[in-house]
Formats: sequence, structure tokens, C-alpha cells
Amino acid sequence: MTWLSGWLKEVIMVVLLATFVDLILPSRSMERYVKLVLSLLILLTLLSPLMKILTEAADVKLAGAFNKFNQQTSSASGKGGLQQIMDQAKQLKNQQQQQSMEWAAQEIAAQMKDQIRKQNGSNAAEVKVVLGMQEGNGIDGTAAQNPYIKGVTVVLRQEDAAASQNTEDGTDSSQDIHVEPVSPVQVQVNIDPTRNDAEDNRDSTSAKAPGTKEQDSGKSEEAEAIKKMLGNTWGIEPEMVIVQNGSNDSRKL
Amino acid sequence: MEIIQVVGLGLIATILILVVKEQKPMFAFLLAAATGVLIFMFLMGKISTVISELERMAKSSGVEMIYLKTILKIIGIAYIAEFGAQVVRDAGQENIASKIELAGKILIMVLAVPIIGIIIETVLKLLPS
Repeated sequence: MTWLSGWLKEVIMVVLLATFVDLILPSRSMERYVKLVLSLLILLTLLSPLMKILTEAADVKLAGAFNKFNQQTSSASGKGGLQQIMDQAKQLKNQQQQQSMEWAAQEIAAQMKDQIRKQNGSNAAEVKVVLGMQEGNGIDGTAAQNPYIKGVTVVLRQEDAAASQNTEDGTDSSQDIHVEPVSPVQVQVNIDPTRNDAEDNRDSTSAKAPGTKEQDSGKSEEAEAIKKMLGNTWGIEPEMVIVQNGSNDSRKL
Repeated sequence: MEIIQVVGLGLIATILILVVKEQKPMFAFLLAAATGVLIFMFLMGKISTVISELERMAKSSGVEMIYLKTILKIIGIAYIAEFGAQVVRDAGQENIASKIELAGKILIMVLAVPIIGIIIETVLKLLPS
């Protein structure tokens, strides 16, 4: 019975308030409109138990609707427009930054490709550079973000990798023909994981392809060389460089 | 005794306006507007006590605050629109006064939109689909 008394109290209070408002209204011209809104409010109060059964509480919903409405009007008018503009500016800035980062990553990737080609003659099929942002202090003392190289993925082309391996290791070329091309050696070392992880990975890949162990070792040597070279020239940790073999069947671990 | 102050202010302003009106109608209008604003300001404090009392009552009786807020918004819009319209009407701009009233009416209707939406939604939920 408590809900009944509460509901009755509410209804009585709203009706009293509405009467009061009707009384203190300044002019007759607004009367019809005010009366409409007030009668709607009374109706809402009368319906509130029903609404509690059917949907969520009416007052919560009404508040949500008002909020939405206010947001709409504020976005339409100049009120609160500054905040909106600032938000937009932030968004644009982020977009721009992302674009320039992508561009820089592409440039760096191209340069790395060149360097790899110069170093050991092998054509890197694909070099992917992931740039990250580091929080730091800018020149003017404000908080700025400094880009850094988060990770490098080098995918070696299958034939070229094999060819370069020939020149380096001096193994006979007939091996090329017999060797299954599907022998992805993946030396995947992320930034965070420790070296053990990487070695586990390498072990597992070599264990999976026991027939091509020799080639594996050769390729991993090459990969190590590439990693070292990139690490020296770009000042990044060799662990950040991922060298994958075979553009077609490179798989992610 | 505030009513005496208000009426006295109004009477003085009226006499002054009558005197000035012949020579400078412009100043007469300014005087009227200033008097209106003064009386309005004077009433603001009184209205605030009424509103706070209403709020207290509503809180104690468990009426949802959003209802009270809506009602108070209606009163505020009605009063301000009315006041502005009257000042403008005194200046002889009937057109602008009616526009102000229109704005007030529309703003009150805007307050009704979410309520209507909720009621209609509930009614539609009642009906078997």
C-alpha cells in the first residue's frame, strides 16, 4: 500500500502545483499552452505506476529526453558551441596526426627497404613500420607527443630470400628446386615479451618444419643481420624488428 | 508593505511620464521601461522565496524533481516573455511584442515535447502489437 499512498501524494502535489502555476500566470495569452503542458504532466503522474510496470521510470526517461533535447539545441545554437568546436578541432588534429604518421611510416619503410636491398641484395617484399606516440614535453613546455618506431615487420620475398641465401651461405643452387617453398620462418619479437618468448617461437617453427632446418638457420641468420642493420641505422631495439619469410605464406603466430 | 513601495514607484513613474511625454516621448518610454524592470527585479526576490518553498514541499511529498523543474521553467518562460512583450508593446511595436509572445509559446511547447513522447510511447506499449 505504500506505493499507492506515494502515488496519491504525488498526484495531489502535482495538481496543486499546476493550480498554483495557473494562478500566478501573468497573462491569458500563454494560458492555453501552459495548461496543455501542465495537463500533460498530470497525465504523466497518473500514468506513472503503469509506466513503472511497462518501462523504466518516467522521470528518468524524461530527464534523459530533456538532456538529449538540450544537447540538440545547444549544438544548433551558439550555446556550448565553443566546446563543440574544440572537440572538432581535437578530432581534426588527431586525424591529421594519424595521416602524417602513416605517411612517415611509409617513408621510413621505403628507406628501410632500400637499405636492406643494399646490405644483402635480397629484395624485401614488404616493410611495414608501425609508429607510436610517446608522451613527452614539447619545445614550448606543453605536453607534446613524440613519435617513435614501435615495430618493424620485414617480409622477405621467397625467391629472392633463397637467392640471397645462396650467395651468402654458398649452398648449391639445386637445393632451391627441391626445397618446399612453404617454410615460413617467423622471427617474431615484440617489444614487451622477453627473449625467451622469441626463442620459443623460433623453436616451434623449426620443430614444425624439420626438413628445412638448414634453410631455416640460414634465413634466421639473414633475419638477424637485417635486424641488426636496421637497429643500428635507425636506433631501434633489434627486438622490435620482425622478419618474416615468404610473402605468400607468412603467417602470424 | 512592499506593495506600497511598488505602487508608489508606479504612480511616480506614471506622473513623470505624463509630464515628460509632451516634450520628449523618447524619455517617457525609457522611464516606463526602467520602471518595469525595477518592479520586475523587486519581485524576483519574492518569487525566489516562493520557488524555494515549492521545492521544499515537492521534495517532502516525493514529487519527482523533473516535474517541478518543468513547471518552474514554464512559469519563468511565461513571465519573462510576458514582461518583454509588454515593454516592447509600450514602445508601440506591436509586431515585435507578438513575436516575443510567439517565442514564449513555442518554448513552452518545446517543454511539452518530451512529455508527449513518453506518454505516447507508454500508450503504444499498452496496445497489443
